[in-house]
Amino acid sequence: MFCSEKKLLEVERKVKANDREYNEKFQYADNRIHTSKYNILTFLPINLFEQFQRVANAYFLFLLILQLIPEISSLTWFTTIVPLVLVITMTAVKDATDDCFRHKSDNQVNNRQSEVLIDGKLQNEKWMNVKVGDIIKLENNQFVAADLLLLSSSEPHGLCYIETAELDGETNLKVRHALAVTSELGADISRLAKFDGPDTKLMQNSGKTKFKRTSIDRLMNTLVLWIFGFLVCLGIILAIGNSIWEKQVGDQFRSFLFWKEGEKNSVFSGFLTFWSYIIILNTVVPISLYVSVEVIRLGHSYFINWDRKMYYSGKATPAEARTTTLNEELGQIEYVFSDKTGTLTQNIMTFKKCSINGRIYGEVQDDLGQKTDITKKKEPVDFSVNSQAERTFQFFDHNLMEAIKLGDPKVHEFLRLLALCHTVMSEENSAGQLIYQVQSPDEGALVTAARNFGFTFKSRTPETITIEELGTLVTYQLLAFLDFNNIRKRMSVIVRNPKGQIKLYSKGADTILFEKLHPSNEDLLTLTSDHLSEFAGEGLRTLAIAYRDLDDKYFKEWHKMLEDANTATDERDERIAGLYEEIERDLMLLGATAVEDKLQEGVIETVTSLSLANIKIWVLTGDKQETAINIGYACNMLTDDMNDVFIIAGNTAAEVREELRKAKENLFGQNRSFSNGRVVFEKKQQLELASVVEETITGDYALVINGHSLAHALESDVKNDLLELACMCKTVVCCRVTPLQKAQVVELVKKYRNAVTLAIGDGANDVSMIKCAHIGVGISGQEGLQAVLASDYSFAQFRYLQRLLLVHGRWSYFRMCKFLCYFFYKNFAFTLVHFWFGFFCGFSAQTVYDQWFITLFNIVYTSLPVLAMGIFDQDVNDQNSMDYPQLYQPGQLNLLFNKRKFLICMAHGIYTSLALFFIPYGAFYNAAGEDGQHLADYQSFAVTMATSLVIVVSVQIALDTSYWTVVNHVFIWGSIATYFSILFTMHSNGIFAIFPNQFPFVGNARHSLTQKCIWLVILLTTVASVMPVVAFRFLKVDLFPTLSDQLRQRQKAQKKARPLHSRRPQTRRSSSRRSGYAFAHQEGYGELITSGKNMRAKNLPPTSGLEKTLYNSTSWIENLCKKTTDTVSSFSQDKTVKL
Amino acid sequence: MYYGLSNFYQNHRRYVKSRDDSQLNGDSSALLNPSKECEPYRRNEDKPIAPCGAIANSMFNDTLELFLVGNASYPTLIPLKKKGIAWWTDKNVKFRNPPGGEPLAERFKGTTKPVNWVNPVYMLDPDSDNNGFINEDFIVWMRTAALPTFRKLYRLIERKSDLHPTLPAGQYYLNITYNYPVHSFDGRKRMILSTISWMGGKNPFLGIAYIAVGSISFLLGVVLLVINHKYRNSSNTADITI
Repeated sequence: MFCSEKKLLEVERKVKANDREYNEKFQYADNRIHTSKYNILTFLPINLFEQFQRVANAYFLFLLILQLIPEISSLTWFTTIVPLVLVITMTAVKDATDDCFRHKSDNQVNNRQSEVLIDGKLQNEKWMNVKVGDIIKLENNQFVAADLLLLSSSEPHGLCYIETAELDGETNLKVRHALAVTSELGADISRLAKFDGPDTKLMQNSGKTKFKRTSIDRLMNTLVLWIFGFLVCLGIILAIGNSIWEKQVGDQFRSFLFWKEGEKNSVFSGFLTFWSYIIILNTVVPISLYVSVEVIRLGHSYFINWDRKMYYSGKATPAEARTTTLNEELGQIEYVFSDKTGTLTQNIMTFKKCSINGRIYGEVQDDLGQKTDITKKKEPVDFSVNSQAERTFQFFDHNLMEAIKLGDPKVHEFLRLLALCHTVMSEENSAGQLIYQVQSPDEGALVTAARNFGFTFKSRTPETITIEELGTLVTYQLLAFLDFNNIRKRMSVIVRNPKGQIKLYSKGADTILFEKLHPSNEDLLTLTSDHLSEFAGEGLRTLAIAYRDLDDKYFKEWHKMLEDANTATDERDERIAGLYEEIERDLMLLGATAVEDKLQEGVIETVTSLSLANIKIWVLTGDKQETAINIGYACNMLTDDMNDVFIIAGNTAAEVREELRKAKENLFGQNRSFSNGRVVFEKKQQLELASVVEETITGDYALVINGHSLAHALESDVKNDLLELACMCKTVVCCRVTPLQKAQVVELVKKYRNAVTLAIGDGANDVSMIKCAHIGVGISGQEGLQAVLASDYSFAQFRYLQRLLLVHGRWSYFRMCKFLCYFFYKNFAFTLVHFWFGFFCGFSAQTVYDQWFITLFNIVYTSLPVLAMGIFDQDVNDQNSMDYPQLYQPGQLNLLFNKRKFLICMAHGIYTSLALFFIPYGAFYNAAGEDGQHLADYQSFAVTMATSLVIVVSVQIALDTSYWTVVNHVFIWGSIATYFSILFTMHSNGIFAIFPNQFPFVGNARHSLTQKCIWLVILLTTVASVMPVVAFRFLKVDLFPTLSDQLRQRQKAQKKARPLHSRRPQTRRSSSRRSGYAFAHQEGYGELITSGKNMRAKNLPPTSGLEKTLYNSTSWIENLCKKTTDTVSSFSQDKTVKL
Repeated sequence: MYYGLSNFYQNHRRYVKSRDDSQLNGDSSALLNPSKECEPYRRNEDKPIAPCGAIANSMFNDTLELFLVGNASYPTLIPLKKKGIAWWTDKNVKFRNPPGGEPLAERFKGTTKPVNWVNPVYMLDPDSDNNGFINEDFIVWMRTAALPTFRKLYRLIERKSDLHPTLPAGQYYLNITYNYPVHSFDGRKRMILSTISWMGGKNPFLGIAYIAVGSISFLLGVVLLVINHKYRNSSNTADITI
């Protein structure tokens, strides 16, 4: 048996089932999953090679080589090698641990067991050893780790139900069926492995993992280049200076300062000096910068991992920062792309309310008769009387139960309808409990509700439906099944009850069904439609419910016509549709149901808060348009006070273009009407943190776009229109999109808006989007792992996104910016002193400080305080960060660290270096020690300057730190203490006795630092360097306080007695005349049921009906195939194949 | 009493590193085989130079003598103390003569004097405590200056008692034995007399700088106080607009 699959790269794939030798000829990939990078042997060479590919490391290696040339060497070799080795070791250790984790997770997946047919026997084999062409036996509830072809199954007709939670996060079962030829072969489910390992559809579809870098990273690289340019400039200035000096001064100084042969040329001397200065001044871009940044990010990642407020106890899943290099980007997000199912919603449908005969049930009223939200305190309806009741079902309105007990016929009819009109299959498990297999979760909710209220759907055959009505079994004859489809938006059944009455039960979209009603329903209709609006306003999914009594004769005629139509060859579908249309009229309205697509906890608050933070949320879902819109309303992304909701649902490029154009016209037309006001608002918004009022004015449009339309819209010429329109809108909902389209949308925004994007999702269909966005977030704790594996951050609940962005992200950004500012400042202050000194030492590249000081300054004396600030600092606490989402905006506008800020830091650094050099210079010009001994010697000068530098820099960090922890104190005081102890050690007699050539500063610290005037110099230098900064900051806080400044002040004031007030944004809900209809239903199941193909043989009645169904058997399966592929064609590629 | 030199780049990199601290510390192997850093003042006529390097080679060798002309017909020589001008650590730790009990000349056997010197290192001073590497004039010179214009302690004029001024008012006469050429590099020589106070020698810069920085700080303080007083309330009570 041959199996071939068309692919782009390989046109044909030849596989002989169960013939490993034959298949090996083609060298298909094996099924091992490899995500790790190294093994023990290759680690060192590969890792070192990778590390030296980084520009910074290569640069320092180059410097090291330069230092080995004695003519150039202005610093000893250890000044570079010590930090370099430190840095490389740290990075290597980090890489090694990362890879260890990857090995672990690979092993876990690779070592799952499967049953493979080898040599005619079933053998246990690890998934990683499965080969292309192997025949695999799968049992119920097993994991599948390859692309498989279904050969046969134990279910009748080779059907097989699969769950694709790992792929798309949807937990409902999908039906796949085997080829007719193969289905007769085996009794159990067995599959043929088609693509393995890296060839699987999923691996191929998942898109390449790109190395993600943050915008700060990119900015940092640019700045490092700038600095490098600056360095070269300084080098050139000093080299020219050196040439001139050599010519004019050095020439005459020859008697004391020798020349070597061949060095007499002043230009050559200048050239050498240039390199010498490059070495000395390299500390402007210290190697520790990159390491420190990594360390800080790692620290922030641990804060995320440890955050108890992001720990979901329900599934015992903590938040996890899987990538440790992106944290500060979390503080700059402008666009959030969210999946719907499993992310915003729990994928659980619950029956919430209903309106029966003009009366609402399900609303909870308190003693005053006012509507209240459902709270835990309220007693739910007790269903314990009913043995069949589903335990998890809760309903809080006792009135409905009473109405049932009183025997209200309408209520009974209503529930009967729910129990009859559906496509649910029932099954009894070993404990005798009824289990419903549902094809759409909405239906499941309705049938379960009916069951709990005493109308239990028990079983069905192709021709009967058995329900238990308040304890008595009633069997209805199923006469016709009028299936659901997207145009009809309704489904009906025609049944004959035991009394012989024929009834048509119908449920469907209110808009459609209301047109089919009998005129006598008018009063009820207005009442019910009010109720429906109310439900819709609450974001519930609604269905209208109606029935019709049919008389026997009429039905028989109709049924005859239907059979004719069924057998007809041409225009079959149209004729059937016409017949359906005909019978579904003059309906009697019963009421309406409202099902809640349960949102994840806190979604509404999160969405509100994020949009206050000016983060735009786009929903990208594979769901249908109605469902998507409904969810949009449910989580307040779409609201009724929006000026307009544009819906783009065209099927051709031209239609889409037209729709886009119209929408734009509409948008700009409306805008123009109050354009004056708006321009002002927009400007304001950029300048200051916007208030809510402005927010709502600028963003009260929404766009809903369909997958088909999106495919056209993403074509190059309309792309910009789409983007422009979409970015004007407050909310964008894309429905029916494929995983690839999700990624395309993200890419579009990323590319043309230059905005930082975040994608959040839980299923494998979100993987490409997660990988594409700047930051990918996976919802963990679900069954699917792919999204989490591809993500940068993962947590269990959507609501944690708020904390991740507004607290962790904002803090990370804030800290990183502060860190960078300070770091650049510090190194400018440190290094530029050499530049000034150059003018006084004949541009000879003499360092100002001791070599040891240069070696240790960045890695020992000053690294820890700035790290502590980078890790722990916060301007306002987490509660305030959450309460005032506006605080997030500086990150989006990139205000805290940009080129301008960098220049300010640089200027600050230069100023400090000037103060550091010229104050001691002036003081030493004609200084003498207390005992008359001279102290203007080079070594004392070096010690004075180094000490001042360490003190100035420490005072500065103390000023910069806005959040003091014990660690900050320890590090700052500790650094100063370390400096002095190392200084005294290195200047001690003992160490000099051992290495007289390496430590020539013997006795210097002791001598210099006992001089009062040296301390006076240090004090003066410190004050002069710090004072302007203090003054400037003081003025800024006083005159132009930012929101965070104000909040800090308030926070300080409130620290003592903090009033407990939560500023939870109130969820606004308003009712509207909007249809809340949404139904996650696929057509084609009606036929499946009437044909009885999905029922076990024992259930099939041995009647003549069998013949009929057999007769139909080929057609239903074709239809089902055709229809499912039609409706889900866009994403069937991804969903259907991996079983 | 200080001597000052200007335009003398004692802080030039090649100058600063041209010394061998091991040799100066009395290490016998370094004595006969000085560090390469000393080039080209490492060897002369196949003999190692002691002390090697450019710093030692260029040692200041003028002699200054101060006379009080006064009323007497002949000037009186002011006694100048030559010991105690170097740092204690330099004299006792950093600089050591080569070990051994023999006379200094023996200990420096096998070495030659620096090119510019008149006498070898073991003939700098008759006092054995101030001869060789531990000669204080030499030590002072070897402590290189930070800036091209510098002064170094030459001699101490000690205060005899509180009643008599150390240097009474009158006419003084400075006798300089000129050995050290500075014209070639446009240098200047100076002789400075300075009285030492609690914070060292006279240093007007520090005073002026302190006054300047202090007054700026004070002014800023006042200005900021006024501004703060004016705006504080507004920033505190301002409604935090959300």
